[in-house]
Amino acid sequence: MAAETPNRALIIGAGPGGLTAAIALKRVGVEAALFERAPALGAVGGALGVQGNALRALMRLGLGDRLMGAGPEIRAQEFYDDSGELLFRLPQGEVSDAYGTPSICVLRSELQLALVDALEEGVLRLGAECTGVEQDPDGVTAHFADGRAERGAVLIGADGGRSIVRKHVYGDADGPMKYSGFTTWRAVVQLNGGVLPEDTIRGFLGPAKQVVMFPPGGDRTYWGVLNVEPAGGQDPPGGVHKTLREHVSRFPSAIQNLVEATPEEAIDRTDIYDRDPEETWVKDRVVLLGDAAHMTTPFIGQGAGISMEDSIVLSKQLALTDGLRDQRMLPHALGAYERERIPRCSKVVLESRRRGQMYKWTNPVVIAMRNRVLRSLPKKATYAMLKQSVDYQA
Amino acid sequence: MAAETPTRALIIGAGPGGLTAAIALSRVGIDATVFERAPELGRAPGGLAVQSNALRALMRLGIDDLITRVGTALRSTEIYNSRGKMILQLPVGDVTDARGAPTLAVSRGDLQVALSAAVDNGHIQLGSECTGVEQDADGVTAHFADGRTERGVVLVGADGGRSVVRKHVYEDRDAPRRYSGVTAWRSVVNLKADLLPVGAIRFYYGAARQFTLAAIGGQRAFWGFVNTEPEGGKDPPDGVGQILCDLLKDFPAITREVVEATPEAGIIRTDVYDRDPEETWVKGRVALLGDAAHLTTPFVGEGASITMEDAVVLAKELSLTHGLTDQQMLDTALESYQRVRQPRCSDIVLASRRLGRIYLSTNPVLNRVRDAVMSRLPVAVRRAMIERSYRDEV
Repeated sequence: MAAETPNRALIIGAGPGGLTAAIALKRVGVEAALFERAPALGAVGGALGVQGNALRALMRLGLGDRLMGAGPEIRAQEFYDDSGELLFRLPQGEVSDAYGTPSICVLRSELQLALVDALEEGVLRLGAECTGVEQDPDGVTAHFADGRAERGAVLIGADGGRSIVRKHVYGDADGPMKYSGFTTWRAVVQLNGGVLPEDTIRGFLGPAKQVVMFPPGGDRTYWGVLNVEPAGGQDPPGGVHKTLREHVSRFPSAIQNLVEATPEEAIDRTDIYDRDPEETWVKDRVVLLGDAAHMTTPFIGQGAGISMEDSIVLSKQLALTDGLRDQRMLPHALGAYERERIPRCSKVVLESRRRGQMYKWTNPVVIAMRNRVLRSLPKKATYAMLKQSVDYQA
Repeated sequence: MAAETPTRALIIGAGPGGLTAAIALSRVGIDATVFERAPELGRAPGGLAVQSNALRALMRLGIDDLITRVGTALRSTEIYNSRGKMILQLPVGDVTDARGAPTLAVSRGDLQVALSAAVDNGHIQLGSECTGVEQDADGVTAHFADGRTERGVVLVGADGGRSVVRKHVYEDRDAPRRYSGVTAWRSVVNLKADLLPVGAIRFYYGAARQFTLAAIGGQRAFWGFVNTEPEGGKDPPDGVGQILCDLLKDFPAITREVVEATPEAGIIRTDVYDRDPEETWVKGRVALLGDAAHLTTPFVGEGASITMEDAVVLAKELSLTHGLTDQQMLDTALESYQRVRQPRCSDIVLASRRLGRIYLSTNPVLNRVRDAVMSRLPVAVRRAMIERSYRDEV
């Protein structure tokens, strides 16, 4: 088998991290094949913010212009209480100006298509569901649901929070996902303007509830309702609006109208998890990236961003393997990658977790105190809240 | 001119940094040629330490074995007072064992020859004295003393403390070098067997002077003598050995024995300088590396080592230019290189400057206090002194 192992990287998962890795590896002279479970592109839902740090990472691949065309620039994140009174405003525009890179809002599906567009022909294989990974001294084999196997010199698990590759890395030692306490309902809805300024992300904080609204451009609004409840709940068919009506009843009417205007089949329900930071993401020839390595809650909007940073750093480290021909260098490269990235990503995961905790409170006295503190946050503090994660160059 | 600019890097200077850069750039798929003023390799004077952190950087290039073969692993750094009493022993070997990479004592000439063996054939041009650098929108041109010019898309100034490339980067704004107050005499000497233990580097400290001695294998040793002198002094044509022995008259006999065993023609005298840390090492397509960027005094013993680290980081950052074919990425790559390296190198330069002041103090009271403190340092502190500069990983 040794002589037949191709000098290439196998990447599992065509999310933002996996796609960025495929593009970046090509750039540093490493051949890569990318395997995605979904049979078609663009089927992923929701929207996300690509903040300055992530956009700067993508600029290293010459993708800046392409991405900046994919969604509007975000100049502010505004947080309100459930009656619609402004609590605080994060000055995204000022941070962007200081670092010279904008933050944008994009649909997940459009980000995926923009990244796929930068891939070389034949790198991406759709409908390839990885079911397991094996490795030996000469290489690594990925097994797929259709019985196929693929072989490479290194395998990158970019297959998200419920990663299959992760099972190979940690085996039985893997800790459980941590339920954040929040379940979320999310949708993208096309409306004729008026809901949200095109350069602002808004959040509304209620007792044990949060509503977010993003403007991914083109008269569309992405909204999410987060509610504190036990994990694993389900809505009865036809009952989603009834549930949501209760959750948003105390929020401004614009939000209630937004939810009403969204067809039930467009609404996606998920429980929100993260994981405690790990000490390693590597097992010999197999390495984790993105949510598979450092699953995070969405409260500071950096999950996809740090995944894309991961990919740039991993590629730079693998560049020194001479296109994977010098595999003695593999442990050094993967070790250097995790050494550089674990502190950064752990910080983001824990900061996001802290932020989420603050939104779970139900005691009206505590909430009133929280809101008073939030309302009086000095400009320096709101700037610092963004800066601490944007101030990074992959 | 545009169409004719070869997609390659020009490296000025075949010191440890320039040669390591050539090897590392080739590894990430970048065509690089080194231009060296000297007509032949292996004549570089004196010796140096390839510290554990540098050897780990060289491991990333798969050339650590090559360098280990020409060096002697150091187990111990020993500091003596001028009467020959040991006042401090640093357990270098114990620390480096845990890191899997020793610190080596090596002659500059041997290091140069060993590194050059790993450079692609035909990519070192000797007898090429760079006299100036010009750049335009399409590339950069190096001019040489023989009237030749060479063209590339990026130029790396690895031409040492009196760098010609540096003049191009800073022009008239360049601050002068700072004279450290000391002059150094250095050489490599053949010894009768057993004059020195192998595996130790020794420093003898007198008032305002210091003698360094390390066996480097093959019954050779490098030595360096540092004495407080006015800047710009010169030795008479004959008798430098006697002058040095007079200065060393209060030092242990071994210091005079190695000086006496050294042919006078092989003793190099240089004034010791450093520079204040710079904010930038880059101008357009031109980047500085090693002493050209961050000239340091020798008291930490990291000068050549951080230079080799520079080279590995520069190559990783330039890997994202797709073998220099995507020159839009050049600015970001060079800027990232400088951002990663500048704090690390400034730290070493300033630490070395501080140590120099402590070691070469002429105040007898302070010196007694210094020696008393140093001779009582617990092992944890002594280990930490070594680990401090080893901590960084490229």
